[in-house]
Amino acid sequence: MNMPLGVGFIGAGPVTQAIHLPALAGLGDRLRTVAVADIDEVTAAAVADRCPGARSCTVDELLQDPAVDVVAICSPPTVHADQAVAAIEAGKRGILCEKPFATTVEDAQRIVDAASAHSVPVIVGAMHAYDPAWVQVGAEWGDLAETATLIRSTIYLPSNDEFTALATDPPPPSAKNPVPEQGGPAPTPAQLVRGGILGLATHTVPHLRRFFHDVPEIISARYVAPWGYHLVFTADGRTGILLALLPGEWGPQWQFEAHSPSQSLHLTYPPSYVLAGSATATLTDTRGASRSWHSTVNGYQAEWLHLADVVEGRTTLAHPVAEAAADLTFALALADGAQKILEDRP
Amino acid sequence: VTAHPVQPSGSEFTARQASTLASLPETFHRSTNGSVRLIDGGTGWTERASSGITSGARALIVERPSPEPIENLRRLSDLAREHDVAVVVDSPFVGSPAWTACREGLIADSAGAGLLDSVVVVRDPQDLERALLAQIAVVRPLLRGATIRRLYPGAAVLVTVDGTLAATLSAATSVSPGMMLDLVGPHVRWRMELPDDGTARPGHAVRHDALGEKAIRPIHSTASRRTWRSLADQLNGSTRDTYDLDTLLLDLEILATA
Repeated sequence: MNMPLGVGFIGAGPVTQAIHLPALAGLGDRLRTVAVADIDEVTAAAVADRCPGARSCTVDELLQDPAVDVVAICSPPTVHADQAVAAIEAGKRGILCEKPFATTVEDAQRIVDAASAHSVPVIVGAMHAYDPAWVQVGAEWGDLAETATLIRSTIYLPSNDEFTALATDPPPPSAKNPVPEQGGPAPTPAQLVRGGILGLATHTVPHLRRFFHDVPEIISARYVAPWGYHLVFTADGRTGILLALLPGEWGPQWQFEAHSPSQSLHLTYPPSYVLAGSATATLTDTRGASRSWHSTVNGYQAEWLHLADVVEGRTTLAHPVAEAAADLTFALALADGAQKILEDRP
Repeated sequence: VTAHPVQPSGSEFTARQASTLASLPETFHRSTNGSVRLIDGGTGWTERASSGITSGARALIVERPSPEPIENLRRLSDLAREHDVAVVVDSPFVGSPAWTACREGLIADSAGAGLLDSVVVVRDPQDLERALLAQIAVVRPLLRGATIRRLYPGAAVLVTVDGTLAATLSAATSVSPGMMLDLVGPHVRWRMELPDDGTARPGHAVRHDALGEKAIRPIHSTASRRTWRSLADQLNGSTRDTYDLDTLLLDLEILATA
């Protein structure tokens, strides 16, 4: 049996603490956390202390550490490209980069080029793309991707704080990492919708791209208070509807649907942050017969296992990084189109 | 009251309405020349309804009306008034007992909602416009007077373009006919699902808030049966909230100008 692959985290914030560490803790025979770097050394040390055998260090030390086989990049998106390229050039065996994995098409291409030049697998933390129920239903739906005419994503969520509190104990506040002061002008509805698409709708983009191949044309965009979006677009002669609102006082509802004349697909996802298993995917045919898929493994666990398999040569990348770059291009087209509509609005 | 369908026997329409009438044996007696005429709401229904009115009917039920020119509907409405004929519309969602049960709650909560999302699924692509019209009948009281526009010519998607409620009304051809509606605000969220498979399978409506979820009690009855009972009340002189020609005209104007 192989030794577990050593994982080094760049960025020790809530996503690392609440999502990745609990997911990896259950995969100890394949992956183990060995290093944690963060701009806030106190937080890095506190988070490393939770992982037996792990140490806190700087990003440079992490990249030079031979015990780190795989780098998880969970830092702010604007620095993803520099850090991913540095990790690739440092000879790491695999990279998991949180979404959005870049903020510009150019940065995405830098990662793609570096990964290609050094033959290093890079996967983006788009957990729904790896969700076992999504993967299984995608293998069973026949011509749905070609025949669906209406594709919808609805995301209604309570505050993330509710779920991070259920998934981790936050470390004590650090003097070196105070809560940022709110300054400057308030964001415009156009900026908020753009942020919503790149921050939240981006989860759905790998799904959307199974159905849409052309550049999306945004037909309608609205900002929804307190934070959310109402977006309708067309591409390939089909209609896409993306809706989100948060935070709500009610329980979560996270769904994806596709309707064709011969089938309908419904996926209901658990909220992020908690290890609540996969989505439940249901495929219904013209006879009214339904088949459902569900797994106790969620998308984060599945993507980590997939990366371990790829690094160890057991399989090839299911979602090459070039596809992730195309996902980003699609998301940016949605965000740009929505922003333009909202800015042009009288 | 006697009733008869203005449609050849053996059609799906006739079978469905015959079944409904058989569930109301003390109220309606089916006959070959009844005083209540059933009009299939397929294309050209306003002409058939006009004939029904002038042939001496006491009342008409129009089932699942498809969009007709507004002028035709206005003329029909005038004609019905002139002949003192009651006309009620049998529409699959606005007539649903589940919708009736949660309507007031949804209207009350719509004031704090930011999103409204509604989808109707039909089996036949020819029914998409009819589905949008049936959908408007349900959604209109929730829209707080917002203007609706069609996404682009021919699209079976309507959106609000003003007001504070961002709404989408869409129709699609797929395998599970029915209507789904989400009304979402930061404090309260509703999910309503109204099946349209010709059975008395109950619709679902659930109100979600900080305390949890509360579902309406299941009601195993069809929109058609409720419509017939409403008509009986109306013919007996009592008032009941019915979906009539004037209300249909409001919905049709929204669809026509979208």
